[in-house]
Amino acid sequence: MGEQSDETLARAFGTQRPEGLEAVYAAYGRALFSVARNIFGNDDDAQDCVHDVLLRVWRRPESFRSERGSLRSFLMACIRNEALTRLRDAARHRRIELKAVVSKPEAYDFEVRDVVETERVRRALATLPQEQRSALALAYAEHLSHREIAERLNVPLGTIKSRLALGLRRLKSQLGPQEVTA
Amino acid sequence: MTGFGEHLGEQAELYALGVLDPEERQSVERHIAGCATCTREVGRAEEAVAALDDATVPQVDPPAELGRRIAASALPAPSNVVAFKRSVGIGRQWALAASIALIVGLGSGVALDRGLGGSQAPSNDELAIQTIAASHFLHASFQPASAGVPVAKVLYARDRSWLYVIVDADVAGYRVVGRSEKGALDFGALRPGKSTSTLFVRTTDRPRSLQIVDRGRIVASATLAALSK
Repeated sequence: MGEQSDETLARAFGTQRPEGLEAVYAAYGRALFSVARNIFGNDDDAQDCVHDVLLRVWRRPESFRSERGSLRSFLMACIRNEALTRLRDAARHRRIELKAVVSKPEAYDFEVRDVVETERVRRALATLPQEQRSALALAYAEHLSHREIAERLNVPLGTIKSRLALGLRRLKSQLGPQEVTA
Repeated sequence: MTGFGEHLGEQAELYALGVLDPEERQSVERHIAGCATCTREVGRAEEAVAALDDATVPQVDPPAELGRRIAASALPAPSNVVAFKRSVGIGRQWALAASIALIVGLGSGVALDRGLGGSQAPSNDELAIQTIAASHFLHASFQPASAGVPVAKVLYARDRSWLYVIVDADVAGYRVVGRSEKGALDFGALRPGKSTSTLFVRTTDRPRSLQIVDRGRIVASATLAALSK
């Protein structure tokens, strides 16, 4: 069996048959679990998150439309949003003051893994102004919300929103050739 | 109303990054449900975030049990369960049921009284055994409220998404009630058999404790461990 295209997997997933779910999990399970584990920092919560999100999307196939792009990046985004929601809820419930104990360096940055494919992302990140890169790093790597980033950097919320959006847009254009087609 | 102008603008990127409040996120989802242009914008932003993930997130193989859990959860509901009999033979069902009996330390007839392979649709017990076979699970004993209450145990998923209550007696009218952050949950009546009574349920409410209730009176209680937090 060769690898199936994202389009083929999306079609199988949309049929709501268990085989489609299993094929998508076989193809993307590692990436999805890795995203969840990176956010939670443990296997148990990551497993629960991947299980719940995959089952929820599989049971509601209308939540994914082809114009959204690839099923893979859609599922990764679903995992990211669900994991961050759970993490923030848990932090709120436990009244953890995460921000208070963190020192405030001048700039925040990404840790890019040393593999060939990452070079493109590394170059793209290097083109961003430092304030956009810092805001993105706090959102992406430290899992903060826009309000928390504004608070951490002592910058108005509107400014942070703009930095995040502009930073990601610039990153998108730098990563350009992989445009999504409708 | 979505609360946006014609299109999402920077909210598309903020959504993909996961920085929005839950209410803002829901507004975005409502908007893109009816706007192909913004669906594409969100999709492009998600591709960029996925590229960041691929470049920065250490790749980790998921535990094997996750695949089994997902496959078990995708099994058809009790009303249309032809696949069940294909995937687990009768002999294996009995072996698993016997293992369960050993695990919970009840009589040899635990969970074996009803329906293994005899009817078109699998019984509650068959579904329980199929789920248990594909899961890592925990078990707990019920503490009786008074003398003379039959021994009762519960097997349950680590994330408390399913539970299987077994009472070592043929009882009629007993119900299982759960307690979660949402309040009390009536999971239904135990199903009496020849020597045991059982109830298998799937739930999204993740109960923290269970009670067996007889005509409004608590007969026994059990606390479920919460391992995922």
